[in-house]
Amino acid sequence: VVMNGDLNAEAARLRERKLRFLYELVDSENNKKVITEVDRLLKKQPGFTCAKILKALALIRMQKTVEAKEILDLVIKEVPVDDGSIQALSICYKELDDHVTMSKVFEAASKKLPSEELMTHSFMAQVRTNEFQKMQLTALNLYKMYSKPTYFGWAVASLLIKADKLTPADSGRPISLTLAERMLGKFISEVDKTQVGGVEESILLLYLETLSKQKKWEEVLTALKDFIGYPDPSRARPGTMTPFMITEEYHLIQRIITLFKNDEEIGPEVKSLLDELLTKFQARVRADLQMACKFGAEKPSFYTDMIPYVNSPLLSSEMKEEFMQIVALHSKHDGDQDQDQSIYSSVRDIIRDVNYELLDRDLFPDPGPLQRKSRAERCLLKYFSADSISSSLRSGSESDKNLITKEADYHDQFLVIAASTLMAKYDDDENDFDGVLSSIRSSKPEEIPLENLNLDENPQKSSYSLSDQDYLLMTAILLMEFGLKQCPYNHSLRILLIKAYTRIGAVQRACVVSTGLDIKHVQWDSLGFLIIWKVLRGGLYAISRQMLTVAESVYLNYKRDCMEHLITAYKFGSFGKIQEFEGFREQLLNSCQFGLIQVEKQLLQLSSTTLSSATNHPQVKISPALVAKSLEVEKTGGEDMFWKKKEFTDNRDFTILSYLESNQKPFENLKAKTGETDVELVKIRRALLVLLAETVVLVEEEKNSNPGRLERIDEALSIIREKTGLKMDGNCENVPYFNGLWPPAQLQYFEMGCLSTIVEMVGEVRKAIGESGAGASCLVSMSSMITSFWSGVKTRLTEKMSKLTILTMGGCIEDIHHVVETFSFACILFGVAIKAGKTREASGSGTAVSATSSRRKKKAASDAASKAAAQGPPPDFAPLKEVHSSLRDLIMEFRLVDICSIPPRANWHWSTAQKEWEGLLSDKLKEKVFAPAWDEVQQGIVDSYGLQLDQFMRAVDNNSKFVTGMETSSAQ
Amino acid sequence: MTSLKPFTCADLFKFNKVNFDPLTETYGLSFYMTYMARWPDYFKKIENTKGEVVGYIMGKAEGMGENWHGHVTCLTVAEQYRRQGLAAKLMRNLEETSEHKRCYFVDLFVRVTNCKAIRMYESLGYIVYRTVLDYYSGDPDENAYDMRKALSRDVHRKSVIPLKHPVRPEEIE
Repeated sequence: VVMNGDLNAEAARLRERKLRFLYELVDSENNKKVITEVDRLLKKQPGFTCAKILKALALIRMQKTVEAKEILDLVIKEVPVDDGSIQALSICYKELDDHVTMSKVFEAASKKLPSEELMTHSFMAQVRTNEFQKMQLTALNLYKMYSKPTYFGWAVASLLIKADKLTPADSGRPISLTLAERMLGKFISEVDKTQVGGVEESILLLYLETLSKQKKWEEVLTALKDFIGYPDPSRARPGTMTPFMITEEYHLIQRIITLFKNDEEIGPEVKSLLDELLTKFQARVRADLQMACKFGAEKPSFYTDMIPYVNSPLLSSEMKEEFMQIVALHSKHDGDQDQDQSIYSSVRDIIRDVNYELLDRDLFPDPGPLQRKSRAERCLLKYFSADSISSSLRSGSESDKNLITKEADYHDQFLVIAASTLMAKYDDDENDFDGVLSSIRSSKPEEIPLENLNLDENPQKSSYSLSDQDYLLMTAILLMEFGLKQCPYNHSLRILLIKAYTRIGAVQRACVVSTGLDIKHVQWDSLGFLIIWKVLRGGLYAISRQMLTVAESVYLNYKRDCMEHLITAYKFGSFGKIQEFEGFREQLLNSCQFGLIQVEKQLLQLSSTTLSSATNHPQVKISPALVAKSLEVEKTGGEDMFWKKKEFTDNRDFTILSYLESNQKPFENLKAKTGETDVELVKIRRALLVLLAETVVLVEEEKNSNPGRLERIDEALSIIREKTGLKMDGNCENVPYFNGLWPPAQLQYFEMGCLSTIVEMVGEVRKAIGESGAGASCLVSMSSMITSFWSGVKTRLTEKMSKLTILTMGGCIEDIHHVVETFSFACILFGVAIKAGKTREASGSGTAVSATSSRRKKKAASDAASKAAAQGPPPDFAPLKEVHSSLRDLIMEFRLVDICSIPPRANWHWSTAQKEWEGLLSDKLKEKVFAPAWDEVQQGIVDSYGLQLDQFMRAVDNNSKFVTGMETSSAQ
Repeated sequence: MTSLKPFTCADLFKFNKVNFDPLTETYGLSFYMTYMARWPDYFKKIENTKGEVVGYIMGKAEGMGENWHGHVTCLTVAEQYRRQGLAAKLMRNLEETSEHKRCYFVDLFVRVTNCKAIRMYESLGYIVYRTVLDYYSGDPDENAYDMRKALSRDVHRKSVIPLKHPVRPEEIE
């Protein structure tokens, strides 16, 4: 027996040594060697299960999944239970993304050899696959065998999750909740409360949660009283400064009054009650506001804290004015001070005055641009007045040395107010949402806000021209560049500057500024909207590809890891987090930004991968495998189709804009409208992607092995038509869509006819696939479509160029992007149409090839003649080449325009700026702010335009090469 | 006008105003999720009246035996909400949690140049326990102070007897 034991131990050691060698090979990714070694081993030891699994792993890593699965299927029938095999199987199924089979493997193994380790693994595998019933059973078995409260918690948490997944109407929900409550009640009653620790807190929290879900509030209170004696200390506790305003009562009364206030049908008694309530409400709010002003107005957070209350529609304008008077007691808001002497005596004075200006901006918005300019000037004066205090603080001469540097720079907020006030007119004239639309819709510069300028109030300013408007924006940019140099960490200034640069189309410049925000990880979802879409539409394709890839990886990595986080929550008994994690998964993975990021990345990839790979090929050929692989067409045609989704989440973070935008209705409307546009865009662009990709793959496949492709093309076509109201004549009905919130603009993509052109071209290609001899006519139709599209767009762009300003340049740049993209897709469709024609010819001559060899030559000669007859004239590439060359010329014209010296820009010079500010600021200060930044900013904008236009030209050149390749290929 | 609440996953979408601070790091999602899953009691936020996140603390409980302690991984308050005692409120909450978990002490690392933060921790009863050389990577690397505060379980306050010599990061338990 001893000898046998020694032999067994020796054999185990030997196996271990061999496995270690194999592990090293696997780790070093020497997959071929793994397979050779395993095959050699298996000849001697055919039952070496772990080695077989390692071979399967090597095959998976060599993309030979079919062979790997064959091995794995056989292995799991043996139900291995040893550590090595189980671990190797876990890795295999993880890499195959097959959690269901792994769950079965663990289940079988834990039945064969019940152990705590295997059973917990089994439970976790079931968590990954959402098998709630099995989770509950496994957890209860674990609890029976090992008596650990955690396992009991697992069982109950599984029940609660199961109940959560059911709708309230489902009878299974109350059953699961009742069962959970009984299990917990029994468990808690059996615990000896006199022992140290008593009931575990996590179990108690589960009990409270179960009761809460059933709305059993009395039982919740009893449980709290019995087991804790006081409520959870981490729950929200109101502060003491303004007790009424943060109570539920405040919100309730506000809701009630608002509800009845506009109801004209209420009787006199109710009305009288309502008035009484309103009076009491206002009295309490007034008392609170007075108290808040007395003790809080010198806090930097005062504005943020107050604004929800002072903005209440229930506060009369008298009350608002009264409130502002209290704030103003210590403010220097009259702006009538000596410029060279500080009007502030301490930082607290500065903070109070900043709060005053912010509240004043929100409560009493300026009616016209001149008042806005005046407000900006006042804030600028205050900024410089405060700067001397801040300088002395920085040098340490101020007595209050506890103030941190950032507080010394708090006066930067004056610059933020000044710049945002100057810029406000560019997107919310008159605070009227319709006004925004009408001015945005009009791409003609002279029509932008002329009707909203209130010229009558200042007749001598009637020469207010477009250049004056540009001038204000330019001034805002200069102020912000100056401010950022003083305080690079002021994110408000940075975000506002990004907005200014993207508004004028200087996206490259905006991109440079945005790097200071250091957007990363989950912030791509909440903050990406500030820059990501403008980079793409601004022509910075390489940066855009990089940005989209990084942003997409956040979601993909999370998708990969999210179940592990859930498992960690189970493992550590954080049962309260389990449902929260489930909710977060839904919120992040259904994010509209995620949908947009994915589809835009894939569309960008489609044009660049397809065109560049094909142009490098001597015989122009679009590789279906490449397209399918890069786009994962099969997946987009499956359950991941975003257009079928009904619910999208909008996780954009608008709290960061609170200092930049007054909390007015138009802004709220814009937020909602752009959110809706994003959802529609995800669906439409996804449909376009499927339309293009499926068409490419369908035509390029040697055999039409997937009949579902045509169906998917039809489905995509119908989605696009339904969503855009696209009729057969190409007109879109359901415009306008909005081009992102920051800054708002109307999306011209549909109006320009980009989408309708591509959709109709796809329709032509479909005809060519179905009809013999339709290839040539298809190409003719497509040529005519693209020529007609370009003709319309060219007129539009030429007209815009004749009145080019920095304000209209942003729109021109986006227009050019839409054209470049449309041309790229058109080129792909031309390639596909030519291929479709050739395929039909090949299949027509296929029967002839099968004839006997003696007749082949004769037959081939007659085929060539008949083919030439059926084919008609060779494809005419001239129209396609012509439009590309014409677009290139136009971009070049834009490139050559000196944006700073064309006539409307005549007064955009330093001397004019100096004159404009004459009497408002001392020359010394003007020199300090504008002079150093002027040349740099102006050059930066011009360079940005140049770089972006160059990128467009490069993309057009790439397309042209592709067309030339097609022509050469077609002639051969 | 603020309240202290548990930090939830959804707060990750709206903590940007706080994280714009140059000394506040934005970590990968997994990092936050792990803290929420493992030490939910140690992850708290301060919310203003608009429901915005204006500060948060992230920490954990770790160590063995007499080294069982609470650790502050991250503490930050938005610029506009500083000097209102919010950081102290968050720190107190973490200390209470650590007391509840029967920890011996609470510790944290801070850049030796971050004088304001060091002063604040000192005012809350923390002492510099030791210096950790080149703890913060950068150009150049920067030393950290390992600051500690003894909790009631450490009756003899053994955990806060300062070390005389600095240590390397790899020597930290």
